[in-house]
Amino acid sequence: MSGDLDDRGWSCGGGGAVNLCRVASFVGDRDRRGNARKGPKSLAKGVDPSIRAEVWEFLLGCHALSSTAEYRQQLRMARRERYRELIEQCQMMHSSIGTGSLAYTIGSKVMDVRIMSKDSAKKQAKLGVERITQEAKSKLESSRGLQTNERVEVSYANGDGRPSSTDSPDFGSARENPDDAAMNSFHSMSSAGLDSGVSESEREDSGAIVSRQDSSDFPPLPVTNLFDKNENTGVEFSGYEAILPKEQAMGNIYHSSQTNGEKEDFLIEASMNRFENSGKYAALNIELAQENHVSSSKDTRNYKKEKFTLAKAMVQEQELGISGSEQQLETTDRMKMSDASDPSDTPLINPVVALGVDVNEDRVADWLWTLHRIVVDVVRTDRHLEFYGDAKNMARMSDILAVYAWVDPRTGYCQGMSDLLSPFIILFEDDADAFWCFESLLRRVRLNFQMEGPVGVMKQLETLGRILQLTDLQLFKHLALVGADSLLFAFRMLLVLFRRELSFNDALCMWEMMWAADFDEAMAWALENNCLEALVLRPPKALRRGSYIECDEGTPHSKSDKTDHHPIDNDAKSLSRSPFCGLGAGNFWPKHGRQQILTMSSLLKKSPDDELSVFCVAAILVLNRSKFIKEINSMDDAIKIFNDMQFEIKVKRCIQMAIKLRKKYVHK
Amino acid sequence: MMKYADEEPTEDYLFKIVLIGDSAVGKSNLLARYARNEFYPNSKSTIGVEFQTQTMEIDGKEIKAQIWDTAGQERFRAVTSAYYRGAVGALVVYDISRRQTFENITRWLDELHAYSDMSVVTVLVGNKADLKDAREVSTEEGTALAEAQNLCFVETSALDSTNVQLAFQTLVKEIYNVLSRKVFFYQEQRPDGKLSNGKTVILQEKDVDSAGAPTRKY
Repeated sequence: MSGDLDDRGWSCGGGGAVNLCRVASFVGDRDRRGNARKGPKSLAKGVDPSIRAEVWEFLLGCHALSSTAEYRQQLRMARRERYRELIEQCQMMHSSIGTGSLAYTIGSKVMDVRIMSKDSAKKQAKLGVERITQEAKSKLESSRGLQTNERVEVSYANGDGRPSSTDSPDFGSARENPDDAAMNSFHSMSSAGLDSGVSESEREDSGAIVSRQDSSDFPPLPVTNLFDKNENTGVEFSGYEAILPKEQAMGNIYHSSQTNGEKEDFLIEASMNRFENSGKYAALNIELAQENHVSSSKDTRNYKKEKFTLAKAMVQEQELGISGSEQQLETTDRMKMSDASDPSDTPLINPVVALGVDVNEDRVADWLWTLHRIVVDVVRTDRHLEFYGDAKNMARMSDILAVYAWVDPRTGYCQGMSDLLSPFIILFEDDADAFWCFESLLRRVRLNFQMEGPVGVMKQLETLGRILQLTDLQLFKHLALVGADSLLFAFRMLLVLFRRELSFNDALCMWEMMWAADFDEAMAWALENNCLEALVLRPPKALRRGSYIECDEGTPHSKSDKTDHHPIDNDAKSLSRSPFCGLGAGNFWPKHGRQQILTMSSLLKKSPDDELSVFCVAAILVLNRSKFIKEINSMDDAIKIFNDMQFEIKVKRCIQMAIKLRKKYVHK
Repeated sequence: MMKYADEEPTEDYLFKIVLIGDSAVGKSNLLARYARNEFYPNSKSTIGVEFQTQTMEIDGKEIKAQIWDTAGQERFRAVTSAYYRGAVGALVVYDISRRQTFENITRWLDELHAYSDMSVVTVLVGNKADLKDAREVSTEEGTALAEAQNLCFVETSALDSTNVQLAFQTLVKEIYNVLSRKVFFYQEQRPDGKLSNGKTVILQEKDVDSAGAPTRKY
């Protein structure tokens, strides 16, 4: 808003090696309440942008201060792997995820969420179930490798100069290879996904508006044909199977393999699988490119060539990666096994359980509708930054929000979340890292975004009222007199943490200063226990040695009921009891300090509305009190003044004052 | 609530109007086009509520329209619906290139009636009319819905300004007409000290003050 021009220079930061001492000195000096004692002076410097990404990971509790570099690296790999799996899950539901393209075409001048032509959408809605089934089969049956290459080339050759209205049935026949099961699978991938946002068949049936009473949000796009209940139950099963990441099956194969020879086979298969995957991505990219770039066929061709080359390179890279690190695979495999039940152990093979998440058709439909909302907002989030002029970066944002909506269906996507995510995408090159940091932030503010409405903010506004009564009664009385004591004018500041009030740069400074002032490992631990089920990781093998027996006793964990959903394999019974999202008890807590800190935090009963952000709003009010008393003569005035930002926020002064107010408030 | 008559004696009327409809149908840009003749291709989603005021003249009387722009996502309605109260007019907006936004119109109308006075004058607006190739809702469908719901209807484009002024002006004029009749009726009834029929007289005295009925007359 105010400083848009300074924001232009932002590019994706690499994040050099972090100096742990600096980080520790930045966040480590805490008083008994867990607040940064060093206070404003050390905070005032902010974080050097070159290490910002890594400092943020500590500030937000992605990593424990006491963790070793090796541990963090392993954890990072584990998280990236998990993120990749989640991306694959989402990609099964909508083919655009993970391809660098948005799920919907966006007009150049005005936001315009288009969908595909009506005919194809209708057909696809009907065929959806069959296709997914087919895909699941073809995945298992089709031979891989060279075929993948062929496939890419075929679609590439056929794709030249097609009109944008190309519908999929057409597309399929153009390939002239009805026996190619793999091709069909790829075909179904794209179409089953793309018809998601559309309600054509429902629409034409009766014109009745589809409304869903169970959801507090507006009706989702009806995509229930995807898992039509009238079909036989086998279809449903196949549908779920299709959602399972391919590697899930691989993991099982590997697990049962005993000899080296078999292992080798697996590795080959794995790389083939990856290869096929990449081929699929490439093909999808080409398809998407066709839709996006139809105006000039020459350009289209070049674009596609580029994409194709890219995809090829990607395939090679992945092959190398696979055969290169067996160790990696083992870790990965183990991580996955914590989610997937061993079929031999389970009498009833239930893919829903195997996924470790509660998958049902409503959830898929909800997610697809959410994806639609996400894209609508992604294309208008921070578009003033050059960084988001690049569609690929918008797609990254869309992917991360889509994955988050998938793993946290209670929250899904809510407006404002894209504002919070945007800086992480710029700061982190890797989507998984950005995702995990974003998720850590959301753990603190999740209550603001859930279906029930911005409950968290409303509570914070109540707190704000109490703070003002205790710290600046005159100002509060004035606001009450003019009918502005609901303080709703501060809603936006609290919801998107000053992103709309400050320039991009200032908002980032504000955030890290607030987090540093609030830094409290005990709280991070409490949040760790609140980990989303789909994000529970198995700690990397090398790191969990010896550390877990300690953590099991006396560790609070809220999700004991959920343990049932996590199949426990033999050597991990003791491990899966406590959810692990990365901090990990053994590494996180100094052996003697843990109990002490936990006791302390339980005594303090730190409430979430006690966060510095609320005091920052109070500080802004107090710092501008004379202006506000003079100019706010009604709630409308207040809203106008805050919406139009008719005053200046100086970040450092605001933080200083906020810390001061908090001290005053706590003592009263 | 402060009486506007005390602060701004020059205005004859102040109308509170709300802009509602799904996310990204172009509510904020409609308002920007109307109030400032601007269009922001990079505009952000509205968090909470915002408003603009615009003055116009009808019958030689100065009318100030205070137009509230609300967040489109449903879960913010606990916050935004508070602003429906006292509204005398509403623009219910959909995007002609996204059918879903049109299908949700009836729910927005229900919402509006649940939180505001039944008499709220409503104009149905099909925005983004410039996106001819992407059109998913025909003008006829819009007209039909408006007729069924007894609303005014107009297709607009905040991008190329088509009908934006018309939409707002129609609404304000209609409010003015309705209000003039009501005030007349209200004054007629006043000597009795009670209103004959709660359904025909919809604005009550309290609302008249706060919601922008003729401040001059009291």
